[in-house]
Amino acid sequence: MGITIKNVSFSYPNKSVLKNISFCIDDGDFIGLVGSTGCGKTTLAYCLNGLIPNSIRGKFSGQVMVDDLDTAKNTVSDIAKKVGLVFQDPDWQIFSVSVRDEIEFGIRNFGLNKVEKRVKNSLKIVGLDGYENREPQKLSQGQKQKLSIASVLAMDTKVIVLDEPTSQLDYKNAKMIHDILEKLNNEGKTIFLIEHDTDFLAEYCDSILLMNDGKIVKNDSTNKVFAETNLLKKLGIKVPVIR
Amino acid sequence: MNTKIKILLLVVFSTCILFIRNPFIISLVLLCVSFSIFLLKVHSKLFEWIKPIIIVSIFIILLQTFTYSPIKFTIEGLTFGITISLRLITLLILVFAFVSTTSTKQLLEGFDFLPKELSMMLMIALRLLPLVKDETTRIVNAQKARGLNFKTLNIFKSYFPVLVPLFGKMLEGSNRLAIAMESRGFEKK
Repeated sequence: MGITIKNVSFSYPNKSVLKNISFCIDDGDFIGLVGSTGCGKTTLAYCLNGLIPNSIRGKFSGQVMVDDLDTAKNTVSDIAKKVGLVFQDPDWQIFSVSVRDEIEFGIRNFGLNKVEKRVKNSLKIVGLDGYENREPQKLSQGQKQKLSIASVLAMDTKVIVLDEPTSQLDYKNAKMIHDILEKLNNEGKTIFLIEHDTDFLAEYCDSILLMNDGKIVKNDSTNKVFAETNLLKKLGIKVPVIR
Repeated sequence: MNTKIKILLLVVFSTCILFIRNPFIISLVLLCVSFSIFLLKVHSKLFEWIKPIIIVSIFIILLQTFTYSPIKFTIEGLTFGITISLRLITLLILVFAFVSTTSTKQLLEGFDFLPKELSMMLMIALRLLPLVKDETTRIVNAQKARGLNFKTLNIFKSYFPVLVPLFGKMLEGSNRLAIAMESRGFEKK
């Protein structure tokens, strides 16, 4: 079980973004994805929860299986019950007038029970307990990102895909977010982290996917991928200090 | 006070004001509303709100005074101009009183009788307003930093470099918001 991506290619009307990508994500993995800007990382993330090919227009080929569900044959809503997605900019994901409403949004869409317990638990995990009645707009950027993670956690998906969740945060808040992800992974969640900071990837991930120009150029354990310093330099990716 | 009652009162008062023709009665309502705003201690931004309307009102009074009967000063025109201006100011102060005493959350709760899709649209629109404001400030500052002088250009030329990236950003942002909502189970109908 887990996620299997087989020969996936995707192109927008004028641009080919993903080129014959294949890899597997097993349950409980903590996988990092790194690559230069515009290489197709976000597009790949959209493939994992069915937004591609169901909602985003373009030419899709190949197969993405989430457990036994083919993303092309199921709705985004069905896939989203298994794969949660956290985006880069929390300002464009959070829209409710209270923290509680924001977290309840996904829970209610999926018709899940124990709403109150889920809200409290997810806020506790990200360290925002007691924030239920606060206005999301008045939270700091780090707290907003934690809230967007909490809102995905409340849906209790097996896999969490995060698209550069710390790109707008300072080191302290970024570290805090990564610690939360590590804790979740230890509790059994599968984490797929798109991140440009290779130091964080080296510290937290079990394996790394290295992406360039729509292709996976390396898929191996963190140590092995980051040992390829020449390849990293060639692709314009920072060689991590911690290896 | 319950927001639904507030909305109802706002609609009833506003409608009444549109039908009252006697400027003395409108003045009396205006005085009462202004007094209650001072009692509620929410008057700090009132002048900021009514400043542009006062300028518009002066223009209306002058226009009505001299055009009620073609190019001639008339008392009727003056009275009519004052009545319209008083109506405008009273309506504005009523809306100000409503907005200053109602939080966004209360406002949305007040509209919960609307269909789910409509209240969701209203909530998102209200939520995005501060983002649009912040984004506009950011773009204006960025263009100023690149030497754009808003005072020396005409209104179209000066706002073009602001509006184009702003619309681009808003379209991109709303697309991202839709994707985020969909990935949390919100289905398109």
